[in-house]
Amino acid sequence: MKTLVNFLLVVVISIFVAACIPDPLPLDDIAKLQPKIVVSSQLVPGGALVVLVTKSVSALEAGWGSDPEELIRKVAITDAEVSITVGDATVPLPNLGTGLYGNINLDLQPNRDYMLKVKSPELGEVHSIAQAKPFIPFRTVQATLYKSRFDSTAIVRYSLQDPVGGNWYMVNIQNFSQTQNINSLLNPRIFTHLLSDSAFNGKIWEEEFKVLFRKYKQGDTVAVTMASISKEYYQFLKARYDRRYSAGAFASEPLNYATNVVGGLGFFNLHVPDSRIFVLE
Amino acid sequence: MALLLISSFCAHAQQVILSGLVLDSSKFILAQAHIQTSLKKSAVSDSSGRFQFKVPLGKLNVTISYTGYKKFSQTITVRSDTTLFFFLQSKNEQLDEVLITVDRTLQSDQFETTRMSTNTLSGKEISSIPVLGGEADLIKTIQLLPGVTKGADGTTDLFVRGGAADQNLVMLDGAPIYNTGHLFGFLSVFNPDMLDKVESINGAFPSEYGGRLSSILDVSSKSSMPNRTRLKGNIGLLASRLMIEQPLVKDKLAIWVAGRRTYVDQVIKLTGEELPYFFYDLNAKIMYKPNKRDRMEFTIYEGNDVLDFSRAPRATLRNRNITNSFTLSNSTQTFLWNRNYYNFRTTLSLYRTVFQYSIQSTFADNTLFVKSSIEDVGGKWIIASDSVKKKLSLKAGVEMVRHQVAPNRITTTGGISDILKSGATTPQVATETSAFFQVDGSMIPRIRWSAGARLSSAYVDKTFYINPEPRMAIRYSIDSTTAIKASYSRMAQYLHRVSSAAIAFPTDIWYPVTSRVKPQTADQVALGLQRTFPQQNLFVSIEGYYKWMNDLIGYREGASLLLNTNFENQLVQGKGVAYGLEVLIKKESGKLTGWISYTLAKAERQYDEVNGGQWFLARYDRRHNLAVVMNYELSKRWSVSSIFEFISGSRFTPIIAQYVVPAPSFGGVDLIPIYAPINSVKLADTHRLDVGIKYRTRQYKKLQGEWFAGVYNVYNRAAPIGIVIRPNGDGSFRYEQPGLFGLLPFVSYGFKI
Repeated sequence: MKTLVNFLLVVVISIFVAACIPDPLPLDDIAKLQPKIVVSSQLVPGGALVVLVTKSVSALEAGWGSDPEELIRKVAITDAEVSITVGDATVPLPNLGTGLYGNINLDLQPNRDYMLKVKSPELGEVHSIAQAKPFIPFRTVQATLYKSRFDSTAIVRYSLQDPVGGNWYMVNIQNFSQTQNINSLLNPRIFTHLLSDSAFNGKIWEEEFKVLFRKYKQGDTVAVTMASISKEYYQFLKARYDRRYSAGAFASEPLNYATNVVGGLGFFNLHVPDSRIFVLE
Repeated sequence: MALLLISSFCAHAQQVILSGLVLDSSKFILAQAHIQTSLKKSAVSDSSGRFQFKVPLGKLNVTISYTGYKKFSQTITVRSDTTLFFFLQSKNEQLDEVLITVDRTLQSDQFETTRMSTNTLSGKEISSIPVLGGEADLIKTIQLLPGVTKGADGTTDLFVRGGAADQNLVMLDGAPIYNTGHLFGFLSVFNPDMLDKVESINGAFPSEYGGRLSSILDVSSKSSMPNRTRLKGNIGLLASRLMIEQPLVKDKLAIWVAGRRTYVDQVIKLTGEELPYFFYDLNAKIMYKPNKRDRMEFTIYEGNDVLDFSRAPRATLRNRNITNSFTLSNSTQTFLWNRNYYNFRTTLSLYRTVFQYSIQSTFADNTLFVKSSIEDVGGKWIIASDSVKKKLSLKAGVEMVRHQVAPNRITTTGGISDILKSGATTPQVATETSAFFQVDGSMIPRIRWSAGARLSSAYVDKTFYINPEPRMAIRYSIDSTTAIKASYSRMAQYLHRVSSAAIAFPTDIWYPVTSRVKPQTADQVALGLQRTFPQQNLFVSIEGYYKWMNDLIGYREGASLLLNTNFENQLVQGKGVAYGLEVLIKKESGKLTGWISYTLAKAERQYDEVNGGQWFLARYDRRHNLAVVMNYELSKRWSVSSIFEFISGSRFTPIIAQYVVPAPSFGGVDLIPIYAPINSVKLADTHRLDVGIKYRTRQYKKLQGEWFAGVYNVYNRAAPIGIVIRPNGDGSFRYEQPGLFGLLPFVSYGFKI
């Protein structure tokens, strides 16, 4: 009898719910945005600068289910001329494929303006200026395995000596392999912890944090890097980080992210990281 | 009907004074009764039920009408100054309640006054309309009136004359209600069985009202002394309710108790499963009339929503230590004392209202506790005098309320504390005080006027704000059935709700102005034409308005307010403008009742920090808003009702492009959205047809029943809440506008003893 009641209840509720949900209405006429050049940069531990040059696409050309590799191939600009100018010197960044342009011998000097220029036959030219903040090393750093009843992740303990003045930091943790393919930088599996020195300006700062939502096991090798970054890049990353945990389009105000790329999108940043490798125990 | 005639022998040559008093068969005063003579002179009885005009000697026909009562009409011969007593008989209404007013206007009764921009609803109207889930719902019915725009489909937010959802003061027996929705906003907190009268004031605000920019929704619970025990109940798909009305001392003391609860969770429990959500309302009222001068009322309301996954017995949840509990509660206590003196009356109201919510969640070794509350303690004292030298009526008073706000007290432990840190928004205590006066007069026969002011102030965060709020209205009578009205009002608001402009959440908090956030103000002018058609029982109103708002609160681009303890940095203040034309055609009695409401309106906003400082359309700027509401009595047992609604789509800010950057965390690449200019895209227009049919059983028995069945959204059309992007399955994507509620049948059974 109870089974029959359950069955009938499921049937009635299913019919009710199915009847309830109306078909969504289509939407055809939204103004499209002309594609723009998008710039983003990464610094590989060891001093190599990699710039990813892509183009923006319409909202209907890609989504969160899209394959990242396929997506990059679709949007990558592979025929651009990319160069970095510092002072009177201009260094071309060779095409590494799949929209990547890089230079492994870039000797970043802090507090100097580096101008990135990207020229695309199809989309025109954009440029961006960034400075590498002075190198701030770890004072101490340790990464160990953290096991709870439910999770196995990494915990990082570190300290730094903060210079006087406004400073912003990015601490990245990523799986590390000696045979790391540069193209896999598109899938770096980095965890980023952002920090502002408003609470400890000019002092020693110590903290520990767990690498959230990442699983590690004993014997995994991780690279922990820390870099002092510009305020603008910190705000760019923080905006993305904060919205990652928002409850969706209906729970927060729309935001068009800031960019330091004149005529384009994305963010060109330079930083000199301090990198350490750990085997998790 | 009865007529008692008293003549004096002070005969005048040509004109005599015809005066009278309008009462019902129980000798209760009927104020605002409409008196018309065959000489095309008309009047409205004052708060004492009295009226007076000059007439020539001889015969004339006098007709008196009052909603809920049989029309009285008689030819009398006047030979001298004459005073008449009229006793009206109530109509024989069945299950539906009859609205009896003492000192408030019905839709057509406001015609003779300077009142405009005001909508009134009776309990019968609310109960006869088929709204979502078949539950009679005050807020859903208000959304069908001119000047009122709804938010997301099915929710209880009101956007009145271009204002925001937090610019409406919703009161139950004088106490503010901060969260008007159960079921996450899909059902209002008002038990329809307890409702007596509802007045929605959208402009021409009387000076006794303030605190919000856009509207005052004054909901009053039952206030007519019952003469016998009544029991009334309803069993519906969403909830069931029961109300008992009990006289304790004849004509002196009575009590009402009403309750409402969802019971679906209990039904599911019988199958051995758990539905961890329920809500309930409890209303109680005591009315005491020790003598003819005094009337006291004490009212309590308590309503809770409880969502508690910790009750769910599933083993997987327990193994991962997953529990979720969310509780939302409103409670009010009010005391009202009306006292009539010889030629003036006083009203003292005291209230306390509390709105709070709490969240308790655990996941693995993470915990989250959130508490938020707002408590108001306040009071208002009014002194009013009618008919000063038969020409003026005066009203004055003071009001004070203390808001104690303790929002967003968040405690987190475990890994989640890296994402959401423990903290609390600074609690605040804000005190609002106001003094007001209003004079209503009619120096010249065709012109009535109303002039007054309210001086409001707030003290909070060591900052004192003060705002003068002038109010005025004028009425010019073209003839006995046509009048032109105009008004000006200024309103100030010292409290605002911190919520996303897109959709309200139950966790939205109310917060007062601070030393940095200034009070919002609005000025509104309105011009309207009103006409009654007594033969057809029609009331027609055409009204235009223009409203401009200053220091209007908005939010920075990218602001995320959900559980944000530091939201003040996200607030910006700017300007708003709204203007429109409203048409209302309402029939309040007869076999066919209902209304046609049409609004043509526009609302815009401007903030220096948003949209590059350019003006943009408000989120719920909906150009056209048409509602056709109908109830038709087929016979004594059968009636049918329907609603047709057409509303222009609201505005949305969709994603129009995107770009790729390597992800700073979680791996892979991030797709960064590029949004269209704010609110630049109009969603699809909404239109919907609801139908219902009512069958009354056992009409002449002691226990009367009523079946009400129908369908909400007959042709299952989506009412878009936004624009989302969905995959097509072949790697491409499409835009969609999803709706929330499609075709929803309902059935309910009501009974009355």
